[in-house]
Amino acid sequence: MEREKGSFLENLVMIMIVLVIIQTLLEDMCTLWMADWASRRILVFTGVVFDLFFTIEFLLRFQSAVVRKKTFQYMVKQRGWVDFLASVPLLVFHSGPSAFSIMSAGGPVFAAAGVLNVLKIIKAVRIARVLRLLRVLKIFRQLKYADSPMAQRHIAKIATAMVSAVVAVVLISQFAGSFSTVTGDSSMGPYHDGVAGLLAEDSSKLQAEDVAKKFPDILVVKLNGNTLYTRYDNDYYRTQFGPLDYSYETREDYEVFFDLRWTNALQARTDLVYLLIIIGVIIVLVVYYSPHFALTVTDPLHVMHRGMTEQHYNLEVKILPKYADDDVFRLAKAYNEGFLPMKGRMAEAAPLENDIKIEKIEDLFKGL
Amino acid sequence: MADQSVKAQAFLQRLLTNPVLDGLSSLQKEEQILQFIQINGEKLYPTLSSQAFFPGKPWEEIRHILSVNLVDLINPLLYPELKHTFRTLIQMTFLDFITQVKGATDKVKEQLYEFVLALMNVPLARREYSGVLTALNHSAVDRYLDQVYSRREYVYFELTKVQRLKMSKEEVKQLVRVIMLLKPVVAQYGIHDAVQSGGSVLLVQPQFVEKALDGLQNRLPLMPVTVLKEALNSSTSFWENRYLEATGRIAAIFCTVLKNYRPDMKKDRGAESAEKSWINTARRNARYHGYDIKMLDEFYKIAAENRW
Repeated sequence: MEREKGSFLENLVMIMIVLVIIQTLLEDMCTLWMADWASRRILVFTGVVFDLFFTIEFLLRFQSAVVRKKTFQYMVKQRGWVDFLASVPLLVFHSGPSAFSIMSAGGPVFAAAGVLNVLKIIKAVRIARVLRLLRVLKIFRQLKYADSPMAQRHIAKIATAMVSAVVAVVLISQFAGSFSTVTGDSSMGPYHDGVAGLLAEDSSKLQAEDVAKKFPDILVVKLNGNTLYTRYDNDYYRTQFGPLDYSYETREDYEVFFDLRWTNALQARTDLVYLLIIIGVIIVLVVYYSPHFALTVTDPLHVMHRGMTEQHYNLEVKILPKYADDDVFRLAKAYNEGFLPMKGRMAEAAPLENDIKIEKIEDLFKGL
Repeated sequence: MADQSVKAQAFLQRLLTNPVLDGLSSLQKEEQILQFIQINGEKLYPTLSSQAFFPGKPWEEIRHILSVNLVDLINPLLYPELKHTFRTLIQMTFLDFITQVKGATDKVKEQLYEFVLALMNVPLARREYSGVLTALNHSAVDRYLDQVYSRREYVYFELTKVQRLKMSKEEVKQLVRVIMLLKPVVAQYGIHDAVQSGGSVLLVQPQFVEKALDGLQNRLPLMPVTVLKEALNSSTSFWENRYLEATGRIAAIFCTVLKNYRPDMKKDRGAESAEKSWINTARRNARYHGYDIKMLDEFYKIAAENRW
């Protein structure tokens, strides 16, 4: 029963991992293609659900490890740190605040602009989502060639090291950029400031329109609360824009709203590239390298181990001519040419092993 | 005495139900159980020598009781298997090419069957039959000889040009099968003098063949002497007698090389196929077993090409 429950939970986690990767890809693609806000809002909320699920899962595993006094083993050897980084920070710094800002911003498009700068820091954390991909490695256990624990461990180590290195580099570089945002000096800051200054030079409606036409990311220009220029109608803003899709600058009596969807699309494209690179790396490791590792290391070792421990197992190791000089295959050659013939001769003289394995001899006599 | 048998058979029945033995032939099961008893003697003895089983008896006696009772348990399984093998695989039409007396094939076959049954009571021969029956029932002779005849290389040359067998491929197969069935006979005739050092390998000196031939003729008067001689020769080393009949050399190889065959055997990834592995190992042990290495080379190629 316990086993069935455990297996059900493992399968559920696997399904959720696949779904969250699809969700991550969809979220970035919707941003890239500037999909309508309703669709993107659904993806933000589903992101919260996934992050909540993985946070709870991590906390349960962590608690179980603490109870069993295997915290270190779970966090280090079983890569609990990956589970942590791919859940708690995402919920606390990414999906949670995003959802909160959407809910608190409500329906009106132009609101809570101050919160947005803080959310930019949070974007840097998004890259940690790719760490979830490492958990997908568990799924590949079912694959041909990846069923040896040694092969799995090696692939997992290599994948973890590579993905972690990519994530760390991206995270550090994005954090460095985001911290400058907190001080009010984002990469777009000087540009937005300059555009607002240009508008402030002349307060006429004509000037505002001219400037707005020159800068396609200007959405709305307001002077003393009166709209001098708007690029789209209110319906369009309501259906296409979310709290993260615009920014807001003031200069004297002017208020200027800028379209951030282009910037977000660029960011999404970069995120997608990172995500696809890492997916590509993992696929290559699992589909290409894992079979190679199995064929040249674990499979020959497995065959030799069986031959050395099971009396009637006398199959030779298949030596791949291309790798015949590898240590493993040199060992396999000695096994084929030396050990197996000797085993054959010895087994005929005096068998040392037998296929019948009884754990407790006493069990044989029970009830007799 | 009867009580002893009941206890021994109850214990042996329990071993026979071990799932590891599922799918094995009756003689393979017997071999496995005998090995188990031999290997685990020290662990089994305290309980088997207790009041509940055979109190106060020495281990050798207990082992003997168990062996005898195991044979009693296995025979009802073995005889139908053997009958089936004879009915489906053993034909004697090859005799028409060897002897002038035609039409006595049924009687020869019957005599051979009775003889094999009798040999089953000789422990060493019985053990040899495990490999023989396994090879026969898995059509080793048919598969390899079909290939030999289509390749027309060394083995074919040895059969047709050196041994000068003027019979069809099917008759050659029959002859090899009969030699395989007769090969364990060396266990019956003064084997203690004849067995070479090196454990249980039934390999005899060439001079033993002449001595044993008379006795064998008396037991199988209807079987042509040439067949009996080939059967005895199949237990001599090719390294000591380069003029051994090709049929005997083939029989010697198949009697032992395929004895580890298991019905549920599956090839591990990274391993060579079973027959290719076994034949290659036999090549390396060719001198020890007295095999013709050139024949093994050809069989190895056949196994490799056919992924057997």
